[in-house]
Amino acid sequence: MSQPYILLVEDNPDDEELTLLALRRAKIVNEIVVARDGAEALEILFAKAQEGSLPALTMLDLNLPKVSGLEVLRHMRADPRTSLLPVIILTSSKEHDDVVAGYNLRTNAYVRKPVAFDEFAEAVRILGLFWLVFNQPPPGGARGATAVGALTQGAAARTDG
Amino acid sequence: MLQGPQPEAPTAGSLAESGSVSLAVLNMLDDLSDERDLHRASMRATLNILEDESEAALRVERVQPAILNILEDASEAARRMEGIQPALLNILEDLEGEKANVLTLNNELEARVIRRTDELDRINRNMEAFTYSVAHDLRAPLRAMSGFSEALLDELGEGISETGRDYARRVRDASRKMSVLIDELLQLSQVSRAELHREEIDLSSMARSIASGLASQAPERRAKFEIVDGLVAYVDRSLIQTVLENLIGNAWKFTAKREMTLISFESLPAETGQLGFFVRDNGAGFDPAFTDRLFQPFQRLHKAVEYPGNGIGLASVSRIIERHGGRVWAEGQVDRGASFHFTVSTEEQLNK
Repeated sequence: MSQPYILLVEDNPDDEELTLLALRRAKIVNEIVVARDGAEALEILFAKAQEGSLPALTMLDLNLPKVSGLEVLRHMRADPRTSLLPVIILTSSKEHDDVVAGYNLRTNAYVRKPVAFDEFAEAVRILGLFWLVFNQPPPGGARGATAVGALTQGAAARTDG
Repeated sequence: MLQGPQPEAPTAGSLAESGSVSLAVLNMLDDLSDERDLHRASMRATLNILEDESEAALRVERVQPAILNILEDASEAARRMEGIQPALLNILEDLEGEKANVLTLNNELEARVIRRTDELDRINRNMEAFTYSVAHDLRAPLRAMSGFSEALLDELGEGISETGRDYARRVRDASRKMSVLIDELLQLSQVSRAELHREEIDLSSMARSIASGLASQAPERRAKFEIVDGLVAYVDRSLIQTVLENLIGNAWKFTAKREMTLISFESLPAETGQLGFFVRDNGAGFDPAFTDRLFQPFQRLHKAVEYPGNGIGLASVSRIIERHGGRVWAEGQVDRGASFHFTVSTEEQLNK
């Protein structure tokens, strides 16, 4: 069985690297697939869904080239295969309009990336722990089973993609 | 002497007979003369009447031209009226024209207002786009500076000197501080463009909850808040909350070194004729020479190590009060406390 993956939608290479670093520090072992714009995110998402693989968690930046993060979310919510999947918006913006639009599109969480790295790393760790371990995923959604051990026992296993 | 015929002179013999005839004649003559008198009188009367009538005729003759004149005048007036009528019509027409002009002007003005409003909207949208990009684009590099300076420390491990570690820490601290500044700038712009939703707000209870929040964060401080009951204003709830948080928060901050903190919140005296309020404290105060700088963004009258802050709070207060049609001013002396006053327009003034 293929491992449930984490979809990281992020166009900024620094932020991508820092998020991967934070996920490594949090000892999250799921495969991490990075999409660098909204269009790529949808391609990956639906191509993998064809193969029966759905992300355990989607971390979605809003300000993206081509297709915006909110558009990605809208497409996900409109497709029965992906409509219930947990999505957290992870962005620099805390604009009122973005927050409202995000929740209107049923985002599961809206997190503003802290500037200080220790805070950012802590946010990523808590998000991973909550969404991959404690949260009961929707039916048909994938649970980050292998992550349970990693996060709770501190195993050093790590994959990233 | 008159020598006329004397038929009456009778002879003696016939005197008696002839005497009676002459008496009758005399009587007749008498009667005749009476009649003649009557006739004369009636003639005179007739003449008088005739005279009177001719006088009336004369008068009529005299009056006639006057009547003719009047008639002439009347017809002239009628002619003049006829002449005036077109002028009046012209004036009416002109008035119609004026009215149309005013309407056109009105329409033009309205169009101009709509154009200006559109322009303002566009400028506002640009500003929003700008602040959005400030929020998004400036924070990302800061996160990289903070993150990679830390990652660098990790990579180098023991191989880095204490000085090197200190430098990396400074990079991290500076990026953190800059992120706070950006957030406060955003807050300031948010305050400037947020829509106002004015309603009746109980400022007394708002001030009380802010005060108790501050006091509970520092239970070791001795403090007395005097907040007058029943202070209400027609304002935006969240913006006025920012105002009171800043003013009471400042009062709290600048009284930190007092043995006993005294902070009051009251309304301006009624004789000022304005709806206004003030927060007074017994804290560090300020040099009145620098009053103007208090409300400028990033201007500070105290050292950050003494009283922390970025100097954005009062600038926000000033903008918020401006948007409520009021003004804000401060009074104070070094070491003798400060008071911050603000007014807001009333609901009646708004509906005028």
